[in-house]
Amino acid sequence: MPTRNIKSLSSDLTQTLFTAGPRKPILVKDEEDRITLHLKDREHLSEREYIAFGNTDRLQRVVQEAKKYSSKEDPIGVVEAEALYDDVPDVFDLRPTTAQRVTVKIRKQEPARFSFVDEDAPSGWEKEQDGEAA
Amino acid sequence: MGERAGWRSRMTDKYPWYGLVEGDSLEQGDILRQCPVLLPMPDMTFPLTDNSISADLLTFDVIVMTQSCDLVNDKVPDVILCSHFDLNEAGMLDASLGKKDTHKAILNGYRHRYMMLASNAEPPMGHRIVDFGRIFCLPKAFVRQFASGQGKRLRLCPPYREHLSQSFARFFMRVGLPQNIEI
Repeated sequence: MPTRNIKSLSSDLTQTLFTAGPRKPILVKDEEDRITLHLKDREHLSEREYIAFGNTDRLQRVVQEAKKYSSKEDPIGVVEAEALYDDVPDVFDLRPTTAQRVTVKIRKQEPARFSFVDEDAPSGWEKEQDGEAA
Repeated sequence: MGERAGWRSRMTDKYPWYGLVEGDSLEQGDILRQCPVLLPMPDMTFPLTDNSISADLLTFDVIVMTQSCDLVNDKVPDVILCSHFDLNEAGMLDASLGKKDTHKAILNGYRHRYMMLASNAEPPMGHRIVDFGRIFCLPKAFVRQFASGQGKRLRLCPPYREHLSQSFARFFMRVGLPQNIEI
């Protein structure tokens, strides 16, 4: 009778598959991300299980290992931290406390003067403006 | 007190976010409340035909962004300021700012334009959101005068002050690539 050696899976992969059971395991960085995704993706929790994995190297190693033993293209999913915030807008609506329209008198209209400021010298801006420095 | 709360309390004692200052001294990270800012109207036209222009006089809570050494050594005539807002109040104006996801995205540096400042007990201040997209420049003499009228006020301590400065720099120096590397 032919014998067949069955290679044991790493403890990380075993635990991942055990935790996910029949659901697809999706690895995330930390527990906080896992909770966020659990809340966001309530509808699909019967199909997916989010697992906090921490270390990125460990996470990639498990993903590669799972690919070796599975015919599926991505047997284990990974959610990058940045993808968690896709719904968050880039710009928020922030407004001043008070606003008042005023009229400003123009005192002078002339090209502004250039004034060199030596960052290492102790002299002050005002002196240079008055032409005392340099 | 739980382990986490105890650790937090020890860190707050050892590395407080703010110090209290009074008077007209200015440093990077100084927090000024209700500062008047004069801005030309967005629809201002060129060339200016009149001897006067319409402008908006707005009040913002602001934080000093100019480097402390430039302020102390009189290297600049103006002070760069960025606006900041109470997080709870901002959340009422913009619902997305009331969400935990948004707070986390900002705290983790995924929204470069914004940064969070911690709350403070005395003088009381809630969590703040700094907007690096609203930058103002006011004469130093004016800001000094305004600061001295604020009474006891908050000044960001290191390393939070450096974190503010670095976040500001990161917002400005960011580069968007036309295409990403696909691995």
